[in-house]
Amino acid sequence: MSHRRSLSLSAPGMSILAVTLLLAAPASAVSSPTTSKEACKPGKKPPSPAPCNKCSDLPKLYKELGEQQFLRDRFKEFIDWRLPPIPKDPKKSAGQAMRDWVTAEFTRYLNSPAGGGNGFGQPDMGTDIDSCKLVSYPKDDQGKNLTDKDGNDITCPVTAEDIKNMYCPAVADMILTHEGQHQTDCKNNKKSSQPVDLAEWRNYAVYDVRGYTAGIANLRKSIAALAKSKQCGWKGSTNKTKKMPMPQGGGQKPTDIDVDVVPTPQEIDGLAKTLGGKK
Amino acid sequence: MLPIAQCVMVLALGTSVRAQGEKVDVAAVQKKYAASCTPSSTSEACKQMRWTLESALYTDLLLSMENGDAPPPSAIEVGLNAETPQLRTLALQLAPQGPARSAAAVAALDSPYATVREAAAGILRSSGDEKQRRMLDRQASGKRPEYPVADAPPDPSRLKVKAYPGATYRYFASSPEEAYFSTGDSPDKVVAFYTQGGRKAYSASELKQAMKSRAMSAMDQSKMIQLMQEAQAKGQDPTQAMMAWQKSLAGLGSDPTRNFEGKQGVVSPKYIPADDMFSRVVVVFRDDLVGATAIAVPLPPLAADAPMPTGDEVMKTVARQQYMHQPTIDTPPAGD
Repeated sequence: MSHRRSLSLSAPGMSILAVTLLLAAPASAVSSPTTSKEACKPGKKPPSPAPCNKCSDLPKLYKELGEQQFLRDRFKEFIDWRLPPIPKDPKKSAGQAMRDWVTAEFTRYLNSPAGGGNGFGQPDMGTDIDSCKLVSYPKDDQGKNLTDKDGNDITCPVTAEDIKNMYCPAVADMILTHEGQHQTDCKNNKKSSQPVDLAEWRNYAVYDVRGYTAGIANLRKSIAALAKSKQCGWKGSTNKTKKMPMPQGGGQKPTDIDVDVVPTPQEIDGLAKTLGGKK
Repeated sequence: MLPIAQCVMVLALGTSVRAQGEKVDVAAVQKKYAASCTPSSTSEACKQMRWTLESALYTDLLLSMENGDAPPPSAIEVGLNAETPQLRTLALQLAPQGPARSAAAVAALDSPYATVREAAAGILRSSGDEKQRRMLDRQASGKRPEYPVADAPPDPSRLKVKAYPGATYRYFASSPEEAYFSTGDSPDKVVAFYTQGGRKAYSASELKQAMKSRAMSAMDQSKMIQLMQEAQAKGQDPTQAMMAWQKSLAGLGSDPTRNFEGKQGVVSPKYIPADDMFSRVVVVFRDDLVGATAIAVPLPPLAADAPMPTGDEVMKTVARQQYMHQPTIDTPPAGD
């Protein structure tokens, strides 16, 4: 007897399976410039982002939350115990080796069952450590970050308004809070009498964990608000907030910060069943 | 001077990394999978296609339920055996109540994903039979990520003892501090394996006595002086040698029997020290809750081998901690 069997996807309710999945549209697709001057030229205005304010958007936002937590936890390992891998390229810094490792781990995660089996990770937005201003990473037609002839990522100045026009409000706010934390830390560090070298990998790990923590706290707010909205009707948890540990580094006990309680994955699935307006 | 593009790269720090989805033609993947794979295929290409289809099925299940459609039994059946944690969790919730669902929940306790195990435990707690509910007492406590990420069995270098041949790593009973394995072999056979080479298996009272004697001899100051002198003679740092010695004594201050003696389902535990300082004690017992012979191996903290800051690094660590201690924001700041 043959054991060959495809996944049972032919039931009537599953006919919509043929819908192609596009998780994120490239922020700005340009052909293949190799300098920031070319890449940062104002091009065609990107299409308006799809909203993310329906109950059926909750699983998507929850996935985003999981991914951001995954990234935060990988950087946290460098505060707690992990050392950056020794880069093959001697010109590459330990900090860059650490970032490359985290990005590679994230791509591996996305290509695992939990990540949906496809996709890749790359920087989307950043903060210029010199000016403390926002930058974006322009992308090619395939959605990959553009690089110069030496293989370095190209970045372009960007405003908060631009970011709001690129992503749905919950994601834009998460990015702006993440980068806002970097901007705040960057400005405070400049003012400090004993500034920290933010390019050094140990400091960078702390710097990035703070950014991810801020972004996650904000996204949790958005998810909790949507879940509790009239259309989705989540009653909420007994506690409005919960403690999220903030690592201190150097073997110190982590301190806790308060973040919004969000529905559990099971509750999210249940909420997605309720009609949140027409798709 | 560095070229401009390179300068930009060097200075742009603090990035938000995000997932970039790839456009997937699910129908094409489905066709290819049906033509070239079976559910038991182990090739990377088949696994990848399966995960993509499972992910699509999860999305479609949610969408169809949103439209008020009842989930097809075939989709639930696939979901209960899915590798994709989100789909498996959803299928566990949707499966009709009954022995089949409870059996699926028991199987799901061995999922590498804590989110799946949590859903399975919830089902067993509410509708499992007594034996199934008792099994939950063996669940390891501790915080797990809220998002689906696969736990991995510990690296053999962290175990520091040989893995028992054919033993299964049990995710639900393991934690970052302890690896739990089970086998169908008798406890005596497992104990014989771990006592090869002259190691001794102790009962709880024997172990406590042996540790007490070892602690007495370890307090001997002359031993410490001798170690420091030896390190000096070898051109090594005597302070480091002393710190390593003190670290090795840590095991003598803990009680390896604490989590086993008198605990439900733990029958006649045997304690086998993996080193002379009792810092690692393997515990073998008949586990009535799991219905197998259990092997519990303590794991060192991941940070145990991290270098201690010395010299300038101490001040830098303090500065970093102060920096980390500053409050974070949770809404976008005003302006750019």
